[in-house]
Amino acid sequence: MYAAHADARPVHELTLLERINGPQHELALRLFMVVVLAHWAEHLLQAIQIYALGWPVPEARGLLGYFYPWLITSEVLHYAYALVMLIGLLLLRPGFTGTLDRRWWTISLGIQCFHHFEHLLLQIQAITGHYFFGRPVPTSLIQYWVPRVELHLFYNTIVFIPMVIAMYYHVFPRATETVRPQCTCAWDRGMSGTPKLQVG
Amino acid sequence: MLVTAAPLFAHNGPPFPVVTDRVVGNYVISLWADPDASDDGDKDGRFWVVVNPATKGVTLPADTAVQIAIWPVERRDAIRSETAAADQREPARRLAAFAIDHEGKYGVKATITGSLGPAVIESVVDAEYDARPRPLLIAVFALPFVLIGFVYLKLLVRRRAHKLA
Repeated sequence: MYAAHADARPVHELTLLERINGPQHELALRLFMVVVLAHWAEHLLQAIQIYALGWPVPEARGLLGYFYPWLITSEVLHYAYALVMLIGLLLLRPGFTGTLDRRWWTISLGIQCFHHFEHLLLQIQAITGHYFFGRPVPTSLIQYWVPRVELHLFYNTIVFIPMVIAMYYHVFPRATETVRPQCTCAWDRGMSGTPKLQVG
Repeated sequence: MLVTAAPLFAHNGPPFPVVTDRVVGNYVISLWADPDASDDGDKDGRFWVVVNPATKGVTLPADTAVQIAIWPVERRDAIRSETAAADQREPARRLAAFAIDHEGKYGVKATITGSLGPAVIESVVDAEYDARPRPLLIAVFALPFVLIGFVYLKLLVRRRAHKLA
């Protein structure tokens, strides 16, 4: 919807949402990927600090945690990232105008929504003191089947996989895709590609 | 309040069942553990016992007490014991916390006493620092860089080839 409008009007008349799903979708998507990779880099760095550099586990806190140790034990940081993911997936979805890329991006968004629903369930249990499945602690639905699952890692992984598949189909759309994308993400419409966007 | 002691951390290794609904004496007992080691003396090693009468319709007597003890398996003499506190909202739920100063295997024993009689369960748990990722997870952490790198590298190559053509 936003993309359709973006095609007909000059850039300066577009709303922010229309811009990031039209002419600036490629840039917005790249910035979003920087955030996503920065998050994974923190986890990777922490593992490197422990297993490659031999740091004591309590000292291995990634980059942010190195400078701000309280952050690593803060649930707020993890939840803030989950929120950024949800907002990013939601805001950038209209730019995915093909069939396959839209489908995979929506799957990713759906899983992220469920991730937040799990957070809500945990909060409700903590507030009411009534824990699911007769368990002694607040329990997520997924922990019913896999008791020792680490929720943060689990959800971020299963959100990431469909997201990157969506990106692949978005950048390399199938020949059968009939909808003409309004962004520059596709390989033949890119910043260095031939078709330039209408700028008024 | 006990709720604050019960961790809400979804991003923390969650407590896991060690013993589930085992009938011992006149009780049905579950033992849960979150045996996190810490270097700063914090009582991050938490153990929960959920104890209910084995006979349906019988309520748990108020005099039921739960004692939880832990010890490094290689040093049985270093046993430490705590009376597990009852949850104000759910008396069947008891919690005890210990400072665990190193990783490794720990024995854990819950001793129940009260007018329904005694009961004991014992098991072994692995204590570890909560922040320690499993080595295998390095592959998971690296995967996003590989996949996104693949997409953008292929994009770069395709655009360059298209431009040259």
